[in-house]
Amino acid sequence: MNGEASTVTGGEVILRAERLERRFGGLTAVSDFSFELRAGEILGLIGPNGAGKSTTFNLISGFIRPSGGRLVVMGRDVTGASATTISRMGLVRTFQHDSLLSEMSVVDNILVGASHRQRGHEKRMEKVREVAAMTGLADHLDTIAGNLPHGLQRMLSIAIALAAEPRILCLDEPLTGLQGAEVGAALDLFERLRTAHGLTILLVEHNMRAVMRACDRLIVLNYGRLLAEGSPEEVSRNEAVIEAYLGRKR
Amino acid sequence: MQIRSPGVWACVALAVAAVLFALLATNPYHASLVVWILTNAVLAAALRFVLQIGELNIATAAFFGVGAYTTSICAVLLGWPFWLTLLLAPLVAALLSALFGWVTLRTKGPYFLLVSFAFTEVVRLIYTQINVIGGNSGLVGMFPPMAIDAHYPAFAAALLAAALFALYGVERSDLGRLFKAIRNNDAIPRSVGLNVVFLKVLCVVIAAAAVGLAGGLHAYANNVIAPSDFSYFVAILALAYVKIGGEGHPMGPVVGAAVLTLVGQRVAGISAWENIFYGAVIVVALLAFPGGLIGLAGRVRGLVRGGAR
Amino acid sequence: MEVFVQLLANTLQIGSVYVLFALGLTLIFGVMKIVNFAHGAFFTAAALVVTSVMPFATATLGLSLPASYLLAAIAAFAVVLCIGAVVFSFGFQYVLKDLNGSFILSIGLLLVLNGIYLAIYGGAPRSVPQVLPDTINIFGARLTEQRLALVIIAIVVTGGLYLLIERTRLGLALRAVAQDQEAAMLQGMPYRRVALSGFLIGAALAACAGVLMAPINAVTTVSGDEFLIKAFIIIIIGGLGSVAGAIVGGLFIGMVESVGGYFFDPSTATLAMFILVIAFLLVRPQGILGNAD
Repeated sequence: MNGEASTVTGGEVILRAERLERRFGGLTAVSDFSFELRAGEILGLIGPNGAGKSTTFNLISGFIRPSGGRLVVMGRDVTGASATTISRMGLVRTFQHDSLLSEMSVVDNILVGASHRQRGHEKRMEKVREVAAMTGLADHLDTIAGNLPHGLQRMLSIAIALAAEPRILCLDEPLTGLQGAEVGAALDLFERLRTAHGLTILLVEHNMRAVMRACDRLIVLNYGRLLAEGSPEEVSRNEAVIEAYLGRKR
Repeated sequence: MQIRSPGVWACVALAVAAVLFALLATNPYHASLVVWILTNAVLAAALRFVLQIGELNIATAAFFGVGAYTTSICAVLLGWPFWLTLLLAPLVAALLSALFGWVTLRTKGPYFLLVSFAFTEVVRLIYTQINVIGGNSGLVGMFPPMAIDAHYPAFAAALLAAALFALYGVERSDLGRLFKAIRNNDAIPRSVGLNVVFLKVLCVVIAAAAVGLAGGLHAYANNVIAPSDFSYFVAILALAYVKIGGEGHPMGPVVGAAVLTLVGQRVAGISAWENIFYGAVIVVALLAFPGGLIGLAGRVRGLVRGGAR
Repeated sequence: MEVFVQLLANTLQIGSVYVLFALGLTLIFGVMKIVNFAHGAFFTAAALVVTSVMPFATATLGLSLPASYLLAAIAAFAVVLCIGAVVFSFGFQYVLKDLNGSFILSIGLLLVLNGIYLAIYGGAPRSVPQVLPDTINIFGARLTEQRLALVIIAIVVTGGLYLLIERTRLGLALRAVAQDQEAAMLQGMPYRRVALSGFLIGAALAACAGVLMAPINAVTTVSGDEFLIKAFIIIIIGGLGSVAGAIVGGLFIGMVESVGGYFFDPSTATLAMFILVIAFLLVRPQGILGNAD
């Protein structure tokens, strides 16, 4: 799918952040940040380095608590809830760094992902095989994760999250360091997850071309605040965005 | 580095042999030595069990003492039946460790280590302050019932071996993988809906139940216990067993306990040299043989095989 | 009033030894990220050296009491620094920043050192005469001059350490390393040398406590270890690696012990300390002045 889908899916709001704020000591990383995630869409969260993307990710996944604002996931107020609780509700994230269990085998990595939802070793293994097939890891099950090639490590971190059967999948720079063909394969996977598995995806990514291609909608963060929001075309034409983000690169 | 899983059947055979030896040994000293080795092996295996989540739990010594005191109090002061006293030892130890873990496992690394150390010393101090349980001199007169008295070493050895297999079984299960995942990178289990604090507490509780049982068995094997038997030093020795045997392998604690307990019999009683001996073993094992005896055996085997080709 | 002043005096004299002891432990942790279980062995070594040099200096060399104490103190520092340099060079430098590994190593070293002390000195408690045996009265509270001197020296040493850390180049290096080893290395600071300096300063602080306590309490081969559990409690409360935390925590634990020991008994005081630690952990797992992680 590409930018044509900018008409935006009419799904219900599955995640709503209201005036989210997070301060670290004197520094405000995110402030007055509101956005909505709608069921079945792929929403891109972009912004220059240090704009607060990682903080936002940590906030909505419960890894850090907001200093202010509200977070509603599937109609439930989860402001200040733990990462465990939020994940159990169906919002599962990946990590930009240290995104897997480097000392453990691929099987064990995915098995850990499946541990909460699936009861019993056999069911977990079933899940492992299913997810491994989807992510192209089926031939590497016994490899130690730290020894996998980089591209497969990225896929494994997504596989771990998928094994937890999310409804909302939050991907933190999943394409970093991937080669050309790998990027295409990853984007195809995202699309398949959305259409075949009904997942909603929030994507933080630096690869602009991939973001433009994969996302239905974009939100742009700058200095911890919402700068713009809209379809990839709208955002890429937005003066403020060009100045703050794209402009800096020229 | 992943070491191949040991031949479980070989271990079962070894355990059966140990129990039979304890049953048939004509010299009671030899029979009790088997119990002593297996008790130390359980302590070491429990310490290693908690190392799975990356924490060094000195309170292993405390829960050993809790088991021993629970059994002794129930047997001597309350006159409860043997089986019940033995059942309560792991239960009480597990319960107390759940409380301990719930408070202390919010911390990790150096803080947890220090708190578990302080906890151990405080529990010991509490024993000395309570006159009913004998204060500094402890409790005396725990005897197994007549029916099994003659074969008590074999009985204890069987239960201790069972505890070792239980710990090994959990380590190999999916739960064991979760423990290792916590040590490797605890953000991952958290991100997929696992309650990491609960799992850590569970890990400490399982280990405490094993050493609690060992403590209860120790009370009947020794007939007398005192607060000084349960100082942090118990955990330090257990650590020495783990290190000398090899931390990377489930049999490491057993090998380490067997070797050091047997060699330790030679230096026991000469306190200065006992200290120097154990200390030197720890230092040398840590700096020169990080894989312990089992790691060393693996390397030697590798060399031999390489040579044969 | 008398009770109050007496308790304050007790707090200061117990607390000042704890502060010296805990400062060394926390400094070593800050710089090397290791929990040195053998820290008590530095204290013990210093105290034992004092008990053997002092009688020799007074009897054989015919020195006066203060002079022989001074000589003993110098010998004690020399011995402790030697031990410190040896255990660092042949042990700790290989396990820097490896929490479990270094802890295990320090336990092994503690056993070896205690064994050696026991082999040399035997188990009997040893004592030396007080250099300042007179007693003084402050607002009705009785305090030996020896103990007063201890408090004053401890304050001076603590102040000196504070200046060293805040005002000198070495102090800057220590702080940089404690905060971020990699950043410090980028600045061209030789980490190994900074770590060694921090380790030796920590050892010297324990030696200082040992030298000061030798004339006050009888010395055994495990004297230093008795301070270890208290020091652990102090740095849990104060925050690992925090100098200010060690000072506040040391005085606080000194107070709990002197007040608790006065109204109840020493074991009750120790229990009270532990309960305080648990309470602290529930509220602030990283100590009063510690930083998260």
